[in-house]
Amino acid sequence: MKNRIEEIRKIKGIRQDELGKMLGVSRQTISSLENGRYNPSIMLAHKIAVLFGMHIEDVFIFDEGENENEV
Amino acid sequence: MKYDRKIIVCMILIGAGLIISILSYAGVLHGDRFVGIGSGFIGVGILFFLKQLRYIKDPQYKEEYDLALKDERCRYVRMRSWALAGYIMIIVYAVGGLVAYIFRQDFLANFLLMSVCFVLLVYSVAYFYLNKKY
Repeated sequence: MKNRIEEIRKIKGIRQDELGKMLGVSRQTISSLENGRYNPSIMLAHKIAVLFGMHIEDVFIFDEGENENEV
Repeated sequence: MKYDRKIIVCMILIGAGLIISILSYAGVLHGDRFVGIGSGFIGVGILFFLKQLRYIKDPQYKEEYDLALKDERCRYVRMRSWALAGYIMIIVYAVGGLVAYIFRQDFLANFLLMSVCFVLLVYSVAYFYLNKKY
């Protein structure tokens, strides 16, 4: 799942470690989210969207075909 | 309070290790294996104690440690690591059991293959329970 976390974070002038602290996760988790290596839980996705003052679908780009290859 | 209990566990480990080692040296417990067990207990106790000491003294380490416990990605990684370790263990035990069977090491073969069966049984029970729960 693609997302706009890095883009929005940079617009808002927040560092990865600062964002991690705000969300209660590590800097590595923010880095993994931004690189698309890790998909967040619905709770974390909601927290991120609320923190940015946006809707989840404005931050995360859902691709229906993406889960078909996952086991 | 949480880490006080952990320090008590460290002390129990070190104490048990010391008692086993002393009894072994005094000749009450026979065999070198008890010296090894005692030393192992002491070693694990000291390492565990040093880790707890760092947790208490170093606020940054405490923050990182607590965050890693709560962080959902770390939990996910831990869960995947356990799953992978389980798969690898089953494969190694199964292959080892077959090799032991071929080389007529019956006790070892039985132990390894029964361990595989036991793990698969535990998995089935856990799956059944969790499938009902969620």
